[in-house]
This record gives sequence, C-alpha cells and structure tokens, in this order.
Amino acid sequence: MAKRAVKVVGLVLSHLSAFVLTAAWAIGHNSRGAFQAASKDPLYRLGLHFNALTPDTAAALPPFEQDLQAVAGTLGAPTTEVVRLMRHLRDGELARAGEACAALAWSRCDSATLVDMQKALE
Amino acid sequence: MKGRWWQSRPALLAASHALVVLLGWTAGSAYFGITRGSVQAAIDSIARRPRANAAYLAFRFGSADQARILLRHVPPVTSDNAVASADLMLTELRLAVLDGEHVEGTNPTPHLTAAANACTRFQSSCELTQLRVMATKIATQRAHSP
Repeated sequence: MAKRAVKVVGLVLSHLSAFVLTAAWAIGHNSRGAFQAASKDPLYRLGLHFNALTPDTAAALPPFEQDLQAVAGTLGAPTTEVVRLMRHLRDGELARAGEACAALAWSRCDSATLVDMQKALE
Repeated sequence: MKGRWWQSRPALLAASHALVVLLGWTAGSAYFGITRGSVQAAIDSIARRPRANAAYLAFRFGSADQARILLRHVPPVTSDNAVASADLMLTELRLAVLDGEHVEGTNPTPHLTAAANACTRFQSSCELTQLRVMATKIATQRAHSP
C-alpha cells in the first residue's frame, strides 16, 4: 500500500515538475525572442548604450555612432547632437563634450557646466 | 498474453510526460501572451530613454527653441497610465516654463492647461494655480543652469 502511494506521489511530482519547467522555459524563450527582435532597432540599441551595461554586453552592440547615424533622420538634428553630447558626457570625454556643446550653440560649455550636465544625467 | 509495447509502463509514462510538456509549453506561451505588454513596455522604456534624457538636458542647459523641439519629440510612456500622465504633465510644465506661462498673469496658458488635463488623470486636485507653482519650481532648474 505504502509502496503504491510512493509511486503515485512520484508520478504526480514528475508530471508537475515537467509542466512547470516547460511553462517557465516557454516564457523565457518568448521574452528572449521579444528582446532579440527589439535589438534589431537602432533606437532600442541606443537606449541600451545608456543603460548600465557590462563591458561584454556593450561590446556585443554595433558602434554607438553607427546606430546614431542610422536614426539621425528620425530623431532630427538637435536631438541627434544632444544624444551625441550625452554619450561624451557619460564616457567622461569632456573635451569632445565641449565640442558637441559648442556645435549646439549652447550659451555655456565650460568644464564646470559640463560637469553639471554630467550630474544632471546621473 | 503479452501486451503490445505501447501499452507497456515506460511507453505510457513517456507519452503522459510528453503530453504534460506540450501543455506546459502552451500554458507558458499563453501566459507570455497575457503579460507581453509589460515586456513591450520595458523595451519601449529603453528605446525612449535617450530622447527623454536629451530633452531634459536641453531643457536644463540648452536654448529654449531646441528644448521645445526635443520635449515635443519624446515618445509617451507606455508602461502605465498614471506614469504616462505624470510624464506628460511634466513635459507640459517644462514647455510652459519655456513659454513663460509660469509667470503670474500670463494668458493664455495652453501648456499649463494641458498639464492640468494630464494631472486630472492621476490626481484629484489639479488647480492651475498649483500647477503654476510647480512650473515656477521647475523653472528654477533652468534658471540655475549656467
């Protein structure tokens, strides 16, 4: 009797775990598919550049400038330039950020202001 | 009499497990279908971030004309109605600041009115005077920017 009960419990558990694991796999597979499909969009990839990425993940992305050029028509001139400025600020390239800031004709592009911009983006 | 192989215990076990796996896959896919909106919202939020940050930076440090263009081109938040309304309200308040609508006595105030409309979607008290105070506070961010 006890042996039979153990067998039944074992069967239930193995079926239940097969169901749960497959369902979880399906959810993971579909979610991964959605993110992979999104990664074909340069706008999404630009967003990834501005999210906290590990160096490995960042290296797997196409170059930032390539994606920025790809969406420049959609974003329009000032947005493209400001996004470029943000990238220089994020990477700590203050000299280049200063050039990008000057290209935008913003009133103040000195080092202290650029540091303020960095802080504003944190 | 000896049974056929597919009536054997291992074959029945394999068949029942295969059926359960199929059911699990269907259930998982159905669940993903229901919650797909939250995955899409996460994707939209990542894609939106550079434009939202650029608009904020232009508002704080850029010229009014550029800031207006950038603020108008930030795509709406898709994750949640309350968050989307709050974000829209903030954008309209920034546009109001750029147009000087936060200054007492300014009329008409299209952006302040739009901010009030967005505000009513997630908050009960959305008086124009209250929003003007908020806009004045937001204006100090820009005023304090070099």
